[in-house]
Amino acid sequence: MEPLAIITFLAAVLAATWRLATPFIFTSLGEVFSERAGVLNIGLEGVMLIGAFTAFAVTFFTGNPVWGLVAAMTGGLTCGLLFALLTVSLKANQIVVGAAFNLVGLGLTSFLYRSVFSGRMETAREYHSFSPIEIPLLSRLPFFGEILFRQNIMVYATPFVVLAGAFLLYRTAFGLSVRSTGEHPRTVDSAGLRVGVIRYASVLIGCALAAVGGAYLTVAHTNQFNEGITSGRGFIALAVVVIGRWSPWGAFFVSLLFGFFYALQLRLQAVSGITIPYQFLQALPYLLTLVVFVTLRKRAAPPSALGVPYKSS
Amino acid sequence: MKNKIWRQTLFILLLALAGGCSGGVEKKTEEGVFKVGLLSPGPVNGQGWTQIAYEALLQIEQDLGAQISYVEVEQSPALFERAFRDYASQGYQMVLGHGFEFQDAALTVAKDFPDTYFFISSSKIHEGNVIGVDSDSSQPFYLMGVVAAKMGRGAGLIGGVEIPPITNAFIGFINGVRSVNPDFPVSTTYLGSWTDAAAAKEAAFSMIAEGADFIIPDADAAGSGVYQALNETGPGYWSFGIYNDYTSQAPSNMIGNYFNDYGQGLVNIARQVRDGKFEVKTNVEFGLKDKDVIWVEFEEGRVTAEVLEAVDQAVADIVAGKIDTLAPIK
Repeated sequence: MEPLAIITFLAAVLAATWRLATPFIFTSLGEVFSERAGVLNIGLEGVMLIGAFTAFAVTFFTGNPVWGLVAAMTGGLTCGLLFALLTVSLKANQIVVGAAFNLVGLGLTSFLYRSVFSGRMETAREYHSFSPIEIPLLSRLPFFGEILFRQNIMVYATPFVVLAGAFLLYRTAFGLSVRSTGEHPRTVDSAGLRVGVIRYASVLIGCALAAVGGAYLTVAHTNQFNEGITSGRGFIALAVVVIGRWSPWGAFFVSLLFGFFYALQLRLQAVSGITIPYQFLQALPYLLTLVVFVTLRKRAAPPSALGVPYKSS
Repeated sequence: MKNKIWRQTLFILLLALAGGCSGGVEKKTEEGVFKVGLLSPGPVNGQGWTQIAYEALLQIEQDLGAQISYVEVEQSPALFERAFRDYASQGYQMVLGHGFEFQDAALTVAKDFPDTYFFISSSKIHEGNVIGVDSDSSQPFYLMGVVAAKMGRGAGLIGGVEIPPITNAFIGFINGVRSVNPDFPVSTTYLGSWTDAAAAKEAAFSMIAEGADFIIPDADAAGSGVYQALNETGPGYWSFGIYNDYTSQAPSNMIGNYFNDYGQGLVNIARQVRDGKFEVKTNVEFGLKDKDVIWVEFEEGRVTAEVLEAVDQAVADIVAGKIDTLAPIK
């Protein structure tokens, strides 16, 4: 390829990377909080779907994606409340509850989508999703400006949300108690803090953000809902949290890496003359996950109380 | 982990079922009731491939007074056999497995139920009472290829998964393109998903950036992402609706729609089965010759008379057998 073509190619891949990484960023950031407090929520896929559907339905009827997003967060919080009730208060097995959330998320949203929207799409009022916004000066930059700074608001929001998340986790008393709860809940308990309350809060943050990640798919990246539109992104977000070593910025950059592979494989397929089987490219993020698991096994230790319900003595 | 638990649950359910069935199910046939069953590979309202069979089934109920039933079985071959067996043992005269993936399960089950016709969509099989039914999408895609090569600068094809019904359609498209201009660039991307509209949208953006102005999806529900990408990019970029009318999703970008009333074809078959007139000579393959099953409609004013003429000529040649739309691509 010509140097110019390579630059254009890279710029387009990077723009797509950011867009494709956004749902991972929201969802994995939320899961960082949940897991840091010791609650493993493998039901992210289900929560994302519920967020995706709620956002779509509310945007469909109100015509305003902001309301869709608010509704998705409400849906996510409801999921979080239920999840915390089962796993924190009732001390149910987190894996089983998470698996149930995935099944319920898919079943419930498919059912509602069919009952409410079947055969209705043709008569839809105009559906407004978050449309791309150009950043005045930056979007004028050659090559990268035009492509990187012409995204929708949810994509731009990601670094700021992660910044806020990192601040909350590392620079506030709440964050300290979250981190301690995941490592050593008994200490937190003996310091006079309520482990249950901290875990509820963390799970609520996790589910709300997962719902926003799902909502992004239906009110920002595309403007439609399909059954199973999340297509496994909730599971990828789980891997992102592990590879990102349970840190907000780790999750951010690993999300971008996954987004990059996703974008790259879509892009490489379209370029003639490159004959790497697309299945290989699609498998790359998962291979990467395996490699990281093997090589970072010792250094990337999960919170020690992860997945363990807390029983105060 | 989710998969493991799911599998274990399924396994236990199947065991329970096997236990329940081993008592010996009597074959119940209510005389005079024409029963048609459907195994759908996904949600029946998927606005694409899966919806076609479902609507056909409804039409069969309405037009032929049949008793109908459907079951959604996704990615679980163990369930395929069970579903076929369930229908056949209840005396269904016609069971449709709506996808190539059902073929093996039907072959296994069919031996035990000689009175049931097992039709398999997207298959070319013809073995006893297992009969492949296929629409040759390569023919309408050939026409789209002709239009793209006559009007555009480059074309991109976005497929769901690399399986014969999709690859064949794309071969048809490329043959259509080559018949007009052998040097016209065509690129192909597979998503590895039928639901990931976001990926389809990004794939379309990629192709647009590579210089394509005709982007055509064949990816079921995910395909809508392509129309959204075109809608956002603006006029001057074109696509076709696949299987249904998708004009509303990108009103200024649609050249036309490829309609596949596979349902009409299935109703025709079902009528023959009901009347005892269905003769098994070969597998069933719908093409442009079946004018009530497969046709392409153009939006008004989007194509010139010259292009329309070329399309009409291609249709005539395909129907007459002068053009092999599935000729190997060199």
